[in-house]
Amino acid sequence: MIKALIKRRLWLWKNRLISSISIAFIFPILIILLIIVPFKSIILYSLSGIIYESWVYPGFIFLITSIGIFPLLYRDFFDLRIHQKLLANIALTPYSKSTIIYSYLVCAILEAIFFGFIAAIIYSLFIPTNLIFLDYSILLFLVTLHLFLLGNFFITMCLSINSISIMWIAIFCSFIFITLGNGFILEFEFFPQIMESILRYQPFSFSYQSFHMFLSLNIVDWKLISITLLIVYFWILFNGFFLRKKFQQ
Amino acid sequence: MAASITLKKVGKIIGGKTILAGLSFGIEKGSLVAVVGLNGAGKSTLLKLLSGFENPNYGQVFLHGLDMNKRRNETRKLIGYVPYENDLDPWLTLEENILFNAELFNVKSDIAKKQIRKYSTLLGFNNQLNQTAFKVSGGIHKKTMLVRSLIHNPDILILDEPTGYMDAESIRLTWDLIKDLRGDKSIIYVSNSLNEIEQAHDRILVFDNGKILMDGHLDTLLESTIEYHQFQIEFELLTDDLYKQLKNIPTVVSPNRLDNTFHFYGRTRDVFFDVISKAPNEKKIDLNLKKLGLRDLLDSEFAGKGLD
Repeated sequence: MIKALIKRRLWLWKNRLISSISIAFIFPILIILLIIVPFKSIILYSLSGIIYESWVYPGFIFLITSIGIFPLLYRDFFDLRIHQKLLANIALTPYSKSTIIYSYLVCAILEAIFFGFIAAIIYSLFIPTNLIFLDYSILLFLVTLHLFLLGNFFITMCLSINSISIMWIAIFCSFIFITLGNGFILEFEFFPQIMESILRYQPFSFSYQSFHMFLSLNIVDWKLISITLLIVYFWILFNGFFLRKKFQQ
Repeated sequence: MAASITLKKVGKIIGGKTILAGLSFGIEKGSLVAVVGLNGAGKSTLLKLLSGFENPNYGQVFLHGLDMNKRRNETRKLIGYVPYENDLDPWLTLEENILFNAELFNVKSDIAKKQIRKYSTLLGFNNQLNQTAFKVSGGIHKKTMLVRSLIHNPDILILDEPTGYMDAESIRLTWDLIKDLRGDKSIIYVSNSLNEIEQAHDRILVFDNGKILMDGHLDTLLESTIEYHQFQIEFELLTDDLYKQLKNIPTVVSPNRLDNTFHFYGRTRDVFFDVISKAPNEKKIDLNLKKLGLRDLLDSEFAGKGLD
């Protein structure tokens, strides 16, 4: 099923090549110019003393991929679903609903990582980075884990909402939360103490925290990773169940 | 003949309303079965249950002896489903839409492409395969969905208005293909085009309020339910008095009028002469005698109470 979804995604890219490629390039440039450039004039160094533009680089990749995973999931689980297209047909294929959810997530994550890859190249053209191969490998693993979690959240959101206006408000709230509430571009210490605690213990920030822990202390926080993996597993099952209920199957 | 589809006391309730009520019937392998009925009779819901799109609230559906609820993955491979509404991906080409389904059912790409060429040629839209779905007409969508439903070579085809949105030529090509597939595949379809149903069926299921009201070949249904002839006599002037006289003839059944035309049914052809003899001096402009068809059968008077 994953192969079928990837093929379809490639066909869609091919059929809308100019707009797709444009977005893949314009989006990271906008984030750099409108968020990172002004922020580096305000926050010169991170609280641990690293130059902001170097500190924010992993957060930038997390942010780009977090948003990059959204279009495919929104399109199929909300847009095409409420217009009674495609997803209903997929639901009739011989796969369990959890397999469908998992396959969608893998496909969306691959696309998001592709966005992240382009963004990383563009970023390195503006600002030099000092990550080594091992850092990139860990980054890739933790971004993937983060995207599995976030993708599940997006799927639940897309399946729960049936109205376009409510969907847009939900998207706006989600993107504000993703951008500012996970420590990607602003450290948690900038928030009041209660907020800091809440944000630190919300699972969407676990992968990013783990990566910074690895960068600063060379420690892989298996506890946070295991908790995230467990949440991802049960959330896939839940979304499978939810999808089945949505189709009354 | 062995049953391809078997329903055992299947019921569906939506929003507290019973849509299907304890349906039990079987469909033989290779047969072409039409489902007809009024809007809201439960026809599309039945197709959704048979396709696995929805689950019944109670009862069981078996495909080739496999319980659809317990053997989902196996039974889904047996089914090709064409929904009423277009559900193609609007941004994929027609061919990509079909190939996507082929991939989902693990059909090899070269085999799928051959099948697409074959069926699209038969249906007369092979030169439009590279069109993006949102750019083509509803009839082409329907044909694409039909080919998509056939791409994994299912044993059972479930079609909701298979010729919806199509022009006359497309309707002919589509029925030629469906009739060709009969025998190899069990086909169950819903249509509001009674002419098409009259031409293409082994069996008709007449639905009313979620129940099967009649079941059989049209000829059998007509014989068993209404051995009537339909008559129409157009007078130069059909006065109210004359109409009253004519409609009170004991052998005349279900009389009505439209302007100067007297319309009625009778068990034998002789009824016609009974009417003529009651109005010997009135000038007649036109006469019509018709064998009853599916439309007559479905007329509420027929389906509900019968002519008597």
